[in-house]
Amino acid sequence: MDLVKVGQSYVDKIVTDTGIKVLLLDDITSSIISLVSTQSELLNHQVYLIDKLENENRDTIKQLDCVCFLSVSEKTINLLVEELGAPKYKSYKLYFNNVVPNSFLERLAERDDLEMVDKVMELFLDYDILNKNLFSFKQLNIFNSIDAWNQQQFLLTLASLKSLCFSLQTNPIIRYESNSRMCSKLASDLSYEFGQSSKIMEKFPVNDIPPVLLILDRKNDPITPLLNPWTYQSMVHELLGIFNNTVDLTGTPSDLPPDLIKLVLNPSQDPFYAQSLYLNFGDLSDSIKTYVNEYKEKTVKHNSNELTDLNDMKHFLESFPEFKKLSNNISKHMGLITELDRKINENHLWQVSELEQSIAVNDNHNADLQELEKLLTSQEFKIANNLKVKLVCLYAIRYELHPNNQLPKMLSILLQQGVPEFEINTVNRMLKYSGSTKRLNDDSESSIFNQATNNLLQGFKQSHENDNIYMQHIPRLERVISKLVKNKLPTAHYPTLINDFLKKQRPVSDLNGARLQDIIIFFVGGVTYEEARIINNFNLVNKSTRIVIGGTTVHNTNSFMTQVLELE
Amino acid sequence: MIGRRVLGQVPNEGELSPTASPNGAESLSCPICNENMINLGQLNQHLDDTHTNNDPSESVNIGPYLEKDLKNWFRTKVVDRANSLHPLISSKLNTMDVVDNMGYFTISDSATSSAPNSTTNSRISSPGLETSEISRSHWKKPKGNDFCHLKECKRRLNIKNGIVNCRKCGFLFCNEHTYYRIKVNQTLQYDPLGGQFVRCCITCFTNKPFFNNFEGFALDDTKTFQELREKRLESDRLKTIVLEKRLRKIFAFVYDRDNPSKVNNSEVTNYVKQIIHWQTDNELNNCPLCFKQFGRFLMRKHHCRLCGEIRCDDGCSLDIPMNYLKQLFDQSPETNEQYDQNHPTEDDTIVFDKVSLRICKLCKNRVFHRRLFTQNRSSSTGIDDLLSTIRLVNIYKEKIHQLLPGFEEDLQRLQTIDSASNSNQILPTKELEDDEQFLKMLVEKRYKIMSVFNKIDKIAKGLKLTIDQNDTLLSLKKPLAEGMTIDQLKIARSIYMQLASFLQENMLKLQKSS
Repeated sequence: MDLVKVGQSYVDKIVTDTGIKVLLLDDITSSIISLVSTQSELLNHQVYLIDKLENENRDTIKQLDCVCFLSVSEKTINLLVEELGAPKYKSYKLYFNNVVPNSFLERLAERDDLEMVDKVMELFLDYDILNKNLFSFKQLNIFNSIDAWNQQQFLLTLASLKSLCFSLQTNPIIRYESNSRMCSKLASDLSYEFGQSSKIMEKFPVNDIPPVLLILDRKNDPITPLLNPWTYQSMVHELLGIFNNTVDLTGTPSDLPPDLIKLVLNPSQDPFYAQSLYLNFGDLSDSIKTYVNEYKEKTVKHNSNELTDLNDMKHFLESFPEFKKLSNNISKHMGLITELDRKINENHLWQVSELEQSIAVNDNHNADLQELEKLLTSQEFKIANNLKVKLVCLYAIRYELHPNNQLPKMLSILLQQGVPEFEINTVNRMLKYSGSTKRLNDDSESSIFNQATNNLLQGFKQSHENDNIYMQHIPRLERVISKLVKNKLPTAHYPTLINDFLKKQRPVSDLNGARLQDIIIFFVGGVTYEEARIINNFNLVNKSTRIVIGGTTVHNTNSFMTQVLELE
Repeated sequence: MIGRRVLGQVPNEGELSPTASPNGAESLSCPICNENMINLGQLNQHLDDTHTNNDPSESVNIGPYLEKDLKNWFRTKVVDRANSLHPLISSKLNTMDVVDNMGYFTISDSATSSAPNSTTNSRISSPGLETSEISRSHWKKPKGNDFCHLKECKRRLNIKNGIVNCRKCGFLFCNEHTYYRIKVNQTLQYDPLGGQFVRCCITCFTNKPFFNNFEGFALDDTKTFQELREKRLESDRLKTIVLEKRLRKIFAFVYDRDNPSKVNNSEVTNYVKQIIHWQTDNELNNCPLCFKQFGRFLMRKHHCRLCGEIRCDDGCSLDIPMNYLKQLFDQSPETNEQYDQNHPTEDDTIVFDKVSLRICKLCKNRVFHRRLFTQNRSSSTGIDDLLSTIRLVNIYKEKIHQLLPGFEEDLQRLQTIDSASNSNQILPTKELEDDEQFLKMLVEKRYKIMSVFNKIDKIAKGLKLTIDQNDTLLSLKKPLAEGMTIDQLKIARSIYMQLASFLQENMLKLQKSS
């Protein structure tokens, strides 16, 4: 399953008609489309003007055709009705990014007495495609209280997840984590809606191995988003923040030229990034070195002394735009990596990460406690408040049930160190959200704290760098998938929902096949880039199973802790 | 054992629809330990897992008494129920056993020995299964010196690597590349619903229909939309036709006289009263459109001359000069143009200033909405220049795409000739002449291409100038240059961007070849 291809197929549908045209978007769709296409790509399809539907100051250009790619909401329908009453362009083609209720169609039809609309289509692209196997709904504040949805966000999630399954032409069996009310609500509502959408479902190709949608709750693995990651994409998100595949370097101390402040990191447009986004920091430095060397080799020839030959000069001129592109890309990544390095040293992340891994992986309370106390109070390493709170969070979760648990003492140390009280609250909230009683204890032999176990699938084994002390922890997701792929997830902890349409379509026995083929994984409460990396590695090795993963958002430590802090 | 499995299937069998489970969730609880359950499936599993005596720690908690209870409950509720479902489900279960039996996939079976045994075994153990056999006549026989059929693999096939026939295509593969399953029917065709799972090779697996289809699903609602619109427009259209007919009659009443200039408003009104239903004055106290109250002096009642209904004068109806109306009306392609030619517009202006027609908002929209729209369509100007630029540029680009490849081919030919002459071969004079002509043609072609490039370059520079000018105006927060709008500036930028990248891509080719 390749989400980028899906996204591009939709963009093609939107702009494919010949002729000079205007593209109208809204807030939601403009960010969706910017992730799968570029302005020059659209320009090649003769889109000369891109604007937002809500912009009232648009010119009337009756010579141009208009294509609209819009989200389905009361607001956009109102704007569209207005637009059709007083049309600004020659004709309208309407593309919606999700299911359009009939009442909306009726309202539009009623207003279209000038017969301006020649096409109405539902595309199912109500989600952000971050790379070919990662999607996000960009939702924060999904909680009403612990383990309860904010109703509005719930409806958005439901609609987006539905559009995701539709876009992939799948009618999945749904499995979810039984200890989460949020998962169970989402799963059952989704299953119901699928059962009701037989008109759409019957157009999907039938597969011999039915696809599976697995809905997980972040609370069952709070460790992964709390650990400092050491691979490129994850690090950039952890330390600098990636939003809509863009990094904003405003406010960094190093002097950057204006075109290097906002950086687009899109693997489908940036070959170096596509190559190295999953590399660990050491390999990354090597990779950028060879990249720079390649560039140097190409340019050295064109230094003044070597540029004597006319042919050489000609060659240089020919490849000049290519060089410029290359050098821009190099300075982009150099800038990013320098900035990452600065952040690492500034926050003493090597030391912090070592302790994190030790807490997460080893069962050694006294040593961990000692080291934690040392780092919290150390004069030598001045660690930022949020990191201190994070370390205590990790300690609190890891040793919650340990007889010698010293959490109160750690909290008082935090207070002594001048950490604001509301930040310290995160620790207790974390325990309330994701303490040992809240987590799913489906696996007696391997808790979330273990290192790699032997029953992992091929593809996972290879991705582990057990010799790397900064990357010892293995996210829980791996074990879940290892079982899921072999169809061995216990139904007690992962109930199965088979919607009415599927039941009619095929015998139930069919739905109990062994090795799965297509899997969609969705994290309620947010996924991490590390988990996306795991999936990518898995997909590379396993040819018979294909997984895409996503969540209500993509977390880094800060956004995760904020989400937990805002729970009440 | 069977009883428990059936139990696991119960929630999937439809007695409990998925919708019911979120609501029913609170009410479900385990009859033994009263633990709350989300749905029946979880309850069943919970019973299986927690309240069986396999787990010693649990059975201590339950105690022998409860355990007995559980067994009783289990017997009455579940086993009986399972029995009643027996004919349907047990056959499915049997199929499932075969599907679950991965034994004969993982054992590296050579075509000759172990495979038939393991499959027949599973068949015997499941009598409910249909006895359809997947043919093996197409299986390639191992010759003792075989290699994996996969091009990228070509591994030698032996006991260690495995010698396996793909059940679908029949070729021999190693173990690794047959670790896949596909459903086929007796004719060996992929059959996702009716087929039977068999072991297959990676090629057959990845060539399944739709396996690599990542075209996003789309639903075309155009037809539904058009039907909805048609339904609404149809009734509207009838009304519009009636109104248009009346308007034509009124025009005819005025224009078909010998001396149209003598006509006055009251004559027209009297005529109108004959052809339509004229609403009586005392029927209404409020304007039916804006609900304002009518008065004796202010807010008087007026009749629309097209529908005959009463409207106020405060935005709901308007007195429109007849000449203007007629002009607008005739502009539509639906009316005949000859009329205009017979009556020159200059005369019309003189004649009809006096006569006017009161028309209400609704009738105006019915008759003139489309006409006004088509009239406005051709009114904006500055944009036309930009659009013709785009069209021009497209023509130039097309030209270059036509010329450039041929030119490059010719150049390559020239190079081969060059190398030939460098090697001091004396060419026959005729060929030399040909060469000269060829060279001449080449220069001409080059000139042609360059001139097109120059034209494009000129356009690009012109655009850049306007863009820069307006950008500075924008940054100074001054109004844009005359006739320029923000949207037009955006379009200009787009064209420039496109041109710049086009020149960059294609001029280079030319430089390379010069």
